[in-house]
Amino acid sequence: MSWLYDLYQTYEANQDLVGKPIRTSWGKEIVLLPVAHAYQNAQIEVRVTPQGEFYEAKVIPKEDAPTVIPVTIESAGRTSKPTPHGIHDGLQYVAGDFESYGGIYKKGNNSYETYMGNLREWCQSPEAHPKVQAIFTYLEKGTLISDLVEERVLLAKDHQIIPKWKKELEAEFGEKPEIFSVLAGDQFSTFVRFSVYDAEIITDEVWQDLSVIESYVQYYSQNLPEAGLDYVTGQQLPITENHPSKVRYGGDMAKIISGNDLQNFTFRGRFSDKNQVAMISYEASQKAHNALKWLVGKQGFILDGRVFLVWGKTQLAVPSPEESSMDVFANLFPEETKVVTADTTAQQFAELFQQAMRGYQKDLTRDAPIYIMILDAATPGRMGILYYRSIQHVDYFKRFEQWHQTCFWRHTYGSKNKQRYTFWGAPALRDIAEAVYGARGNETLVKNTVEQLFPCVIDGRMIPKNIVQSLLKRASNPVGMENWEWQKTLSIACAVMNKHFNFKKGERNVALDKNETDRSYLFGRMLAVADKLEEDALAANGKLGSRQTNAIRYMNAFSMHPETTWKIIQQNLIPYQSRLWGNGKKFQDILKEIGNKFEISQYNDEHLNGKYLLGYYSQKYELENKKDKTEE
Amino acid sequence: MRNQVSFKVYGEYALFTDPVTKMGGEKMTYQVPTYQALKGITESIYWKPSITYYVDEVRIVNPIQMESKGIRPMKYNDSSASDLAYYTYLKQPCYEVKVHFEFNQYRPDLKQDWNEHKHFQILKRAIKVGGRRDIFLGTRECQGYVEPVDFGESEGFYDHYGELHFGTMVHGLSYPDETGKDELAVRLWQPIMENGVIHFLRPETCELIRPLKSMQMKPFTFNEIESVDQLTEVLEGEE
Repeated sequence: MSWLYDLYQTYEANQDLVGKPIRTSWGKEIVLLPVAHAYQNAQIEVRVTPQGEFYEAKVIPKEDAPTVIPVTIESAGRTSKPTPHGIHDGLQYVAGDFESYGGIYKKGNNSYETYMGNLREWCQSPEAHPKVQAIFTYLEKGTLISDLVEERVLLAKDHQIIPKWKKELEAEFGEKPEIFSVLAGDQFSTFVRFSVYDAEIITDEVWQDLSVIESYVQYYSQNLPEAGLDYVTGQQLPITENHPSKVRYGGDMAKIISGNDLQNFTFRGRFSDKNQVAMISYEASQKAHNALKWLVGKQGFILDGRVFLVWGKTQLAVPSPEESSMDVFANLFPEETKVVTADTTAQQFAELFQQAMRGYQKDLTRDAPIYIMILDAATPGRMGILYYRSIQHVDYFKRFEQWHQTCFWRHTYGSKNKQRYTFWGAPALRDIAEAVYGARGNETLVKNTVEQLFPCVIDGRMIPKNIVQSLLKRASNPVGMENWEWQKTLSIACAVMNKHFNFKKGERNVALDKNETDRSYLFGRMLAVADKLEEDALAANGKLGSRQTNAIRYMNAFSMHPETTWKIIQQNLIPYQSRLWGNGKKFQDILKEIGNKFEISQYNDEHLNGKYLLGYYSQKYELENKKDKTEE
Repeated sequence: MRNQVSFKVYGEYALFTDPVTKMGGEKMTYQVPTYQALKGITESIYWKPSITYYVDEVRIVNPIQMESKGIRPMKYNDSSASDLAYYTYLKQPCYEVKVHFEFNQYRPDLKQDWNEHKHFQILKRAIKVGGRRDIFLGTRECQGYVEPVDFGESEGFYDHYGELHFGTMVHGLSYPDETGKDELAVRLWQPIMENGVIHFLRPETCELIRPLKSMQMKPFTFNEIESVDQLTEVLEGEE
């Protein structure tokens, strides 16, 4: 369905989570915002008694600042024109003594009066809430700033608010007051939130109280503009032209739905007014945007501003295409992680992975769709939807699993709690992208590559050739990298080559295939033997790790001209071979065995393709593991 | 059905802009073409003011896939300034379309041209040569190609897919010369794709209609149109 309608329905399906804060795994608090509510950072909290008397006030520490506040259509998108929010608002709106303390209203508008007018209307409506009425009674007195100054929350001198803290003030007022460390602007821009303190019964804070939220939603829904044909639901509903921003993060000004270019022909032509292009109801816009913000905050993967988001309507968290097999596995089966970090074989891992996926799918209803969305902004003000798909979860999991089983290799770069682990399967898309461009790769390139790789997972498409090519080039050039980085690049390249060439169909391991006669694969094996031989010789002299082997140094040239380069490598091998005495013969035998596999015409100087990396890895892996066995 | 033809239309990309994203300029495509887009494509193949096309069905052959591109649109009123935007296109779209034409009852003045057989034959010929005018899939930058086809014969990705809903979409625009009213209106509907095929509602049966602005019918007189007989005379007369 349309992205907007899908998000709208996601909101409806999760109604019971509205207004309830949840914590993400990294400790951030997020709420599925109710309609007509928004997030705002508050700096001061004022408590009043149920009778409307001042009780106490304090400065809010930064981590506690985000507050869910009731807003109107106009106030949610306000810029310079003063339009008040529902209850909690800036000093110029809530303080009756703003002017007498030196505040200046912008554009000659008395913000306090408009704010109080709105609040009075709410308090006199049948939907009024006692807590809000208490706040209203207090604010009507118009003594907010003087109360705050008295409480030493705000700082004033000669009945005038001091905008900014200065060093010279220390003599008079002592240490820098707390308020200045939480404020971004001057004291006039302080945002105040209110609560009601009742000595007898303890209730939720006003901004968390679901009954207050409900009261506002009810009240505000009667103040909505005229109804029109909603392009999302197809119903006659109150329409809005203002759509929320702050989709990706708090200060994000980019809007998905906007329209203010009246000069140019972004929408004009057939239409003369943006209203003619489309109309969206306030309800649909609010619900869809709130659901989106919530999902992005909860489970979005953000890379240089680009949001990659995957969700299900009811079962919200879905394994993301971005993740590596290990991530998916750890998320689905957290308690099993240990099993994998230990000596699990490739086959075992593949089976456990499959099992985890099956278990996961059981919780989903038969045709629950999975939604995939990518968002980014090219300019600060507007956000584009770069990708949108809804897929039946059966198809999604089928392709997802296929990706993890075909883009398969053995990886050792992962580490958790400083413990390195080995895993089998697909690397994370971000790791692939970084392997293609290197750690210093341009962020834009990396995010574009991740986006290119998304359909490879979701639609089972081939990995784009340019990615395969660059990865081959980078993995063939170990000289330019630190060893750990090259090892990581190599295993990622192997996974990609395996997928690209569909090399070992259905076979999920990295074991050496001694019957393979592909020339690239064979050349790769030869390189591994030469590499291992020299390593062993260096180890015998106690010089292992002192420098790179000839095989590694010539790898790049070898991938371009294997025959010519092999001659050089082989010549260089002779002294090492003699140093190994009898052991050298073992390597000779392997080389001979590989040589015999070649079809004579195939032993030439043509470029090697990605399969040589697979040959190299598998041969090297076998040689190293054999050694382990003899040592045991 | 009388005067019905089928054709295949395909291209590298398509952009059937979702109007919600059009206002701001970060255009994103609908997942399937609108009635209006397909009607426009048919009119590019062959059209006369005396006939009105009705799109009966569309069959989505290839899987619906999207790809975004970074675009640098030039500002219309200031050729030195440009903008940046992300446009999201459909990738490798391929559709089979079934349409028929009827004579435009709101143009009784062109009644002389109501020659069924003639228009039907010309339309078929026009499809065979890929249309008379440029074909584009949604927007000008997405070139499309037209071929005759046996509807439903080739293998399609959604052949056994079951139902797929697209939510509320634009069906098309109602122009004065198709409704007889002096206004431009937009029609919405909620299409359902069944095994890859969407059966379109006839414009007059759409229930979600929203008038946009007043507009007059474009006047045509019969002398402005070159008739086949005249053309034959010109062509044959040369010999």
